[in-house]
Amino acid sequence: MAPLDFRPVWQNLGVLLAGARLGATVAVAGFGLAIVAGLIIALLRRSRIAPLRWLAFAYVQFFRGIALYVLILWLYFGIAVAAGITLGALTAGILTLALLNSAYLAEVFRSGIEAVDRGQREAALAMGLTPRQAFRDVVAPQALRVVVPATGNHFVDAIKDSAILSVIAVPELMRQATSLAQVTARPFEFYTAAAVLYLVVVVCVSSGLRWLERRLDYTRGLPWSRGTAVADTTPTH
Amino acid sequence: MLAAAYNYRWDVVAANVDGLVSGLVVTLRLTAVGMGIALVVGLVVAVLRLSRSPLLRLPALGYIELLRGVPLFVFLFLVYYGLAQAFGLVLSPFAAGAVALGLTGSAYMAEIYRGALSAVGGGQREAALAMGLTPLQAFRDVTLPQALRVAVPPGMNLLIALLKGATLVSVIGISDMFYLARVVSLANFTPFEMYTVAGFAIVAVTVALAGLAFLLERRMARVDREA
Amino acid sequence: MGDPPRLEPVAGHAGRDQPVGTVPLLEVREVCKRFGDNLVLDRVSLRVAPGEVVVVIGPSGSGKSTLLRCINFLTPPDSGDVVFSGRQVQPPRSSAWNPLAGRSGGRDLVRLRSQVGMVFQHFNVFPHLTALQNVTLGLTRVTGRSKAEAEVRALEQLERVGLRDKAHEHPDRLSGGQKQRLAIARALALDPKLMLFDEPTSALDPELVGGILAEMRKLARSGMTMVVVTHEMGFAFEVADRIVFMDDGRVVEEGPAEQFRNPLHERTRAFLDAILA
Repeated sequence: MAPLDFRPVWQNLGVLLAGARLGATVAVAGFGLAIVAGLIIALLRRSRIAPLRWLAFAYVQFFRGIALYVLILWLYFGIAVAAGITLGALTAGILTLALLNSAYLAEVFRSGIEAVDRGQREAALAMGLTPRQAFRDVVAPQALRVVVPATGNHFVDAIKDSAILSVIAVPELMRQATSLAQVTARPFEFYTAAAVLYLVVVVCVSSGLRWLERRLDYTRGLPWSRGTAVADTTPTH
Repeated sequence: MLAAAYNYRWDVVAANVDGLVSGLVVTLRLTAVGMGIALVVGLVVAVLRLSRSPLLRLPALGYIELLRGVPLFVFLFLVYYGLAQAFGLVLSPFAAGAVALGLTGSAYMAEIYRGALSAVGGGQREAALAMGLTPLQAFRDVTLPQALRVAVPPGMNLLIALLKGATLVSVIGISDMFYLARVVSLANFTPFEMYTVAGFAIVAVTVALAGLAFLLERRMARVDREA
Repeated sequence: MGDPPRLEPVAGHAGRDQPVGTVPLLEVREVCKRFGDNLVLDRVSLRVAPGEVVVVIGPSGSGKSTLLRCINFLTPPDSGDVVFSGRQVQPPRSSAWNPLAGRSGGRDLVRLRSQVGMVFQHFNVFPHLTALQNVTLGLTRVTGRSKAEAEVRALEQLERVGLRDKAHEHPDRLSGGQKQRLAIARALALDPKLMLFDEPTSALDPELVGGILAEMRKLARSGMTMVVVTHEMGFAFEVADRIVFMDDGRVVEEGPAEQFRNPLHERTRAFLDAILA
């Protein structure tokens, strides 16, 4: 049991930071795809055509039910090999994050749209707004506000999940920490450093999201909302 | 260069059914132990978090933020490899997995308890105190039982999340389904078959749990409507 | 509301003939309570003789509910004394939420609370317990009765408020009026010496108000000492031995019910005109 020595961490900080940057990039790319796919799935979930609804439902259930670690092993070692596809680790990682999060986001978006009271749309139409205007000016802004906190939480999870991509050798932060821990035989120091770096990123992103939520809160500053907290990150409905 | 056509060998899966089943049991056991830790530690942390004394509240807050901010994967490696190196604390892979899973879960569970305790109206506690119950009795007999009901649906979600997290421990060498899949695939070149079966097994369990959670939630929505 | 107020005293009232002020069951002396910058109670005093029914009226925010809650220390007063049955009650050390904060106030407070029943505006019945369990909880936990004894007594109390057939229902199956009856039965089961009612009919649908008032009237006739915060002036004129009018954290006027047919104070008059209009 040697005394702790964090000098190797400082010496390799550049490598760790580069890994963090790559991990964040992968998370952003995967999550961006997930937002687009999630919107499509959410709309399919509300489709008039029953088989489309069922398909979307099965998609959501399946990808919400599987663990990221399981999906990535399956995709990268199982499916790609069986199908004879050469799948890069980076591509596989982004794809996995996108598939998984699109299922979560589909449910978030769906409940967001459903949370806006139907009377809102009716009132807008009754004023003479077109259905498009009613959606854009009345329903969407309200749905957006409902959806942002949950979406943000999933984004934070995606960043944390990017650590798991290290099992397929994506050279992100956790992968770099693992290699360096082995080379220097200092796992405690390097995993602690990785934990701290993840924590810093997560805290920064979380506070950014809270700022965004406050900006989107149109009730703020109105007389009747005075004194009510806006810090609540979970939507009530 | 074209890869040779993949040779499907489902017989290899059939030959390893016993191993897969016991691997699944390992994952379920780990999940159960982790959830047990999360339920107990989480309640203590939640009560401290709700304390008026900053001396109790702030450490609880720090604990929650810390463990929710660090990926489980990183925490698992820190517990398994880090503690052994730094403090000579050598844990079995199962113990390390249970500790990492349980403590991470406890941070989430603390927030679930906190939300549930706050959701029980202050009037309930007051009515209990007004009858002459002590604060401890009011908590145990009135506030807590109601809060536990509120906590069940999010608690079920946490259980599912912990089950998914429990699959990670094959990386530190627990012989669960995924460890077996790796070993068998290396020997027989059957990654598709093994990972597919293991993957579907996990999905089946989580979807079943989610269904159970849905039913529970619907049954209890009735009870919770009360001023 | 429509109830024409009657002038004749209610027969058989235990507190009637007792000169008020000789042996008070409850005495509140110079109680003050501040919430932030708001002085909610400003040196309020109140004496209640055994068997007496005191109705506290006043505009919302006048401090009447806070006064009630100071009596059993749900809201501990900042200063002043509460003397119950000749014993001064020690204020709780801390009203912190934390259950680990200990038995705030100790035995004295628990004794007071077990002898003072309270009925709330929003019922506060326990939704996770059946009607019967709502009543037995206090009997087993506070008075230490056996489960069997508690159930016998609880069923009597449910019978008394007409809820015997609902004994095994959860509160979500009860109407607002039935919930409030249950709350009354729950309080009465502990055999209180004093009952506090905090706007017991304000959260009820209009057609259910009469039933609860009848229940309270019955209780008053049986000789129970009561302090009632309400806006139901018909009830006040009929049942109250004394009415206390509060405004802005102070007692503005108090006296026998009849006095309030022609109040002395301008503010009392304005308030009564507004709510009786």
